[in-house]
Amino acid sequence: MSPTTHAIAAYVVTILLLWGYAVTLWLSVRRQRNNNQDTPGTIGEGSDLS
Amino acid sequence: MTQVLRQIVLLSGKDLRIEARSRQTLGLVAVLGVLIVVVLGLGLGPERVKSGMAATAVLWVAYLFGGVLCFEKTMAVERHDGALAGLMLAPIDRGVIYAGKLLSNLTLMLALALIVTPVAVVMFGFDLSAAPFGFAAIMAGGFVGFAAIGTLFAAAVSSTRSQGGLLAIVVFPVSLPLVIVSTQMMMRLFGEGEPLGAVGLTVLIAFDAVYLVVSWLVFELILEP
Amino acid sequence: MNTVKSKLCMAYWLVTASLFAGAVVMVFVWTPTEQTMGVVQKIFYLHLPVAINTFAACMVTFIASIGYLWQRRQVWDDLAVSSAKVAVLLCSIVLLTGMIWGHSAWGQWWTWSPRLTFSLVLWLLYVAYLVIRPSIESRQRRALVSAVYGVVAFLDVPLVYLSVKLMPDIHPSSIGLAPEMKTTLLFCFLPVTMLAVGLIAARYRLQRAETLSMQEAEDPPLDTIAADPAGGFT
Repeated sequence: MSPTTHAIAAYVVTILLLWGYAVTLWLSVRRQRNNNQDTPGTIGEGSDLS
Repeated sequence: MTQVLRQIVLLSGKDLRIEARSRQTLGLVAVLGVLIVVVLGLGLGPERVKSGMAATAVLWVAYLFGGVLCFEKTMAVERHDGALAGLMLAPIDRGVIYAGKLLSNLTLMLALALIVTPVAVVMFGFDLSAAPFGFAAIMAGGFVGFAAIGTLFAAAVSSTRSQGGLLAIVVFPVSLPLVIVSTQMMMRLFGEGEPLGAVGLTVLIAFDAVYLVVSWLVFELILEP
Repeated sequence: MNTVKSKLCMAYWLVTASLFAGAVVMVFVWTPTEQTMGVVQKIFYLHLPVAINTFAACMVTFIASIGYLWQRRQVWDDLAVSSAKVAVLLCSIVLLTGMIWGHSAWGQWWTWSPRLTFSLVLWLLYVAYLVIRPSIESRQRRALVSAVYGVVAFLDVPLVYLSVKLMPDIHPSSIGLAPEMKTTLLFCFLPVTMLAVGLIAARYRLQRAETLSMQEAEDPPLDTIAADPAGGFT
């Protein structure tokens, strides 16, 4: 492997890990917000079903 | 001052008396230590066993695992029949309880070392005669720091439900600096034949002091029946 | 109010992402290549800021742990665990980029050089922090034990640093940097730090929400019981 491959590999690993974690967090925050909106008992209230 | 010392000796004397009558911990720990030495000796093979420095590494592994078992056991004694609650109600400082437990753990580890070290020295053909006192001093320095951390976290972790291996995971990373320092000093002492310098010993003593002070300060926060 | 907050959040992440992309372009296009080490030295522009941010995240865990021991409030524990998670992530990146660099420079993935050992021990310390938490059942007890461990682990870091100093070293201790290189390095600090802060904040928000829902499940607040005449048995 050439030094250039090494350098690019390091950048790819870093970007994947950092931004991958950021995206995972974003998805969980969004899923959690959706869960909070559909807690039992509130389904249908004020939603497009009513 | 003398009263504090008397309390410490009283507390750890109680632990050691229980140990002397039941002999559960030391037998277990000694056999575990010898087993570790044998397994590593077989795993390394006859050629690499004689390479000189392998013995100190093997001894550290045996001491670390055996030590963790000692810490768990001396704290588990207090969990039976609500003994810890009684101990905490007694008119003594929490720091004294810590010091008592530390003294019991150190005594047990010393006994472990006295059994396992000769076995490893013989099996690995380690020439201790070059600097027996240097070896003892470095190991003692390592023991004090390791026991200081172990005693603290045994009190923290043993009150939780699942204990298997948890204490080892907490204590090993924290005591890695001790392993690094003592290994480097052993390599200088036996590998290069340098006498034990004041600098090396000061580093070890300073480490022990940090571990002791921090653990002693934090112990009373964590003690719970 | 809520939309303003989420818009600000979005803007923060967009700025971070574009600065990050800009930094990468700057490293590979604008900055001159180092003469003795060649292209592989470009790892350094990411390696160092991430390493510094690892310490910062460990420091946040330490401060939050002290905060918990002092005030015994759950928010401190949530902050401590969030920053510990980010610290482990950042430390993994430091280790991986360092290993890639080492493979290019010395032909080995791993050498027991002081700095590699130091990063490894740091990583182990904080991985242990995350690993022990789920084994402790009670929430208060978990927070207390973690806080004590968070304090001891951070105080252990200088000891690790001193102990690895005794080991033989082949690491570059200081690199002479051209002015453009210094500019790039300083510029790289900005997106990496913003990213680290953003990750801790996002993780903290999530942790907070999880804790609150757990707390509600364990002991429902009084007003919901009072509001329900059937006492919950509807």
